[in-house]
Amino acid sequence: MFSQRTDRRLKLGIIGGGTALAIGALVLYFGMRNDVSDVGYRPQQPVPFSHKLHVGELQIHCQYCHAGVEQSEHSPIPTTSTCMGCHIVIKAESPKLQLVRDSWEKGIPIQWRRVHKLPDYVHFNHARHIRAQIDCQSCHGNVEIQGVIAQNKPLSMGWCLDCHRNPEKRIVPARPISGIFTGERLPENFRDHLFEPVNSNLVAGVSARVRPITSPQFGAWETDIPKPEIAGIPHPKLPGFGPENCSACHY
Amino acid sequence: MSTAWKITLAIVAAVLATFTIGVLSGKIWWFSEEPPLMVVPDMDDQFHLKPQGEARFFADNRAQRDPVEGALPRVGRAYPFAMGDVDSAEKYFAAGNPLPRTDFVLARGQNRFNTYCSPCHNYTGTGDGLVQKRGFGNQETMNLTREQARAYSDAKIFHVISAGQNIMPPYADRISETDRWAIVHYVRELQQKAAAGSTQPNGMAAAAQGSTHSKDMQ
Repeated sequence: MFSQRTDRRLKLGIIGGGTALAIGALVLYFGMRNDVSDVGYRPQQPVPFSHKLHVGELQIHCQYCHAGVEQSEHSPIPTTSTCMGCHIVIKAESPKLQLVRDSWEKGIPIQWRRVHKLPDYVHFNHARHIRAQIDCQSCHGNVEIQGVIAQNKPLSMGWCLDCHRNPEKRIVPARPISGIFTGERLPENFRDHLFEPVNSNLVAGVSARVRPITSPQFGAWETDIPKPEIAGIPHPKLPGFGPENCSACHY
Repeated sequence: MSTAWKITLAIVAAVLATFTIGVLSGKIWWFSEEPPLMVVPDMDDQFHLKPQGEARFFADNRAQRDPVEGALPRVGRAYPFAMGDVDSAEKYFAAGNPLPRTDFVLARGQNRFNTYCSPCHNYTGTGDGLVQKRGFGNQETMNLTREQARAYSDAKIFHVISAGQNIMPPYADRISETDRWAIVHYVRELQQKAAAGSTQPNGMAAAAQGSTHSKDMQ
């Protein structure tokens, strides 16, 4: 039908085009996954703040600065007054802290750049997870070794559900460094194990306690919830299966 | 197939394999300062104000506005006394600690103390925390277990936590009122442990001082 030359060209074109399409599809399929496109996002912050120094070396607990995470859906970025609580004395002349001092004097907040961002059609409640004794590390990775904070986990729907379905395999139980209240005294040698989970068998016992509250195909599961407060103090909830129904996370 | 073709295909296959394995391994291979690429943005960014977010509408770009004059907090209450105004505080909180001294309250006190106080005062309350040692130099941090601090009233300890003292910043904005009273209970316990340690014979005292935090846990 065609000349030999055209025939060869056509064959080459079909094979080449097919390969290009296949590669394109692969790159798009994998490249658009959150664990490729979002993980490793590490923006330069206006102030060169190091979690490695403050958490890893000085062992300041997460909640010292991110206070209010126990009560609030949003985990607050510390105010300038939190920084100045120490830095009014420590390194008071450092040029790296010039922006913090300016912010303190003028009363204008520092514009930190947001690293972890969920789509606006889902909500994530920090307080619920903290009260369920789920450590910050479960979602934020090893913050104590990061100089500049980066996104460590994909924060995709599949990733959330993995944990809601099999928490005992994935979540990190509360570590002393995160300041999460477990309702009990820390073991006596907690000081040597600040960066390790206090109570790892807490999570292992999850499946023994949970009971289904709705039909399994929509999969809302719930543990026995202790009284939310004792004498005005927030009572920690036991970790359990997270809800799987759509409205648990979606508006 | 010519050799050139084979080599090309082999390279493509190798690159794809590396990419796929790299992706699936879950290890972070590279970092980017650019925000994640959104191929299909859907409704990821909606037009509303977010906590601590940005709002171009206002001159200072802050979405979160200052409360108007005389606004009251929905939970808790603002601490009424200024730093150093110990007398008023002692009069106001003359009834002492409203919380019962239970295991649960002490556990909470330990948790909050470790979080907010330990950087400077150390886990034992002895005033030699890591931040103190590395940062403050000559500036002394109070040893909460010494005689002078033991003589403080509950109200005074509560006042110092709430309003600060000398270079210690106020913590009323970060620790709830109930939690501050729980910390007072825990500080009292630390003082008792330290006092029990110092009444022992000389050689024992130093050893007990060093391990106060481990004794607390029993």
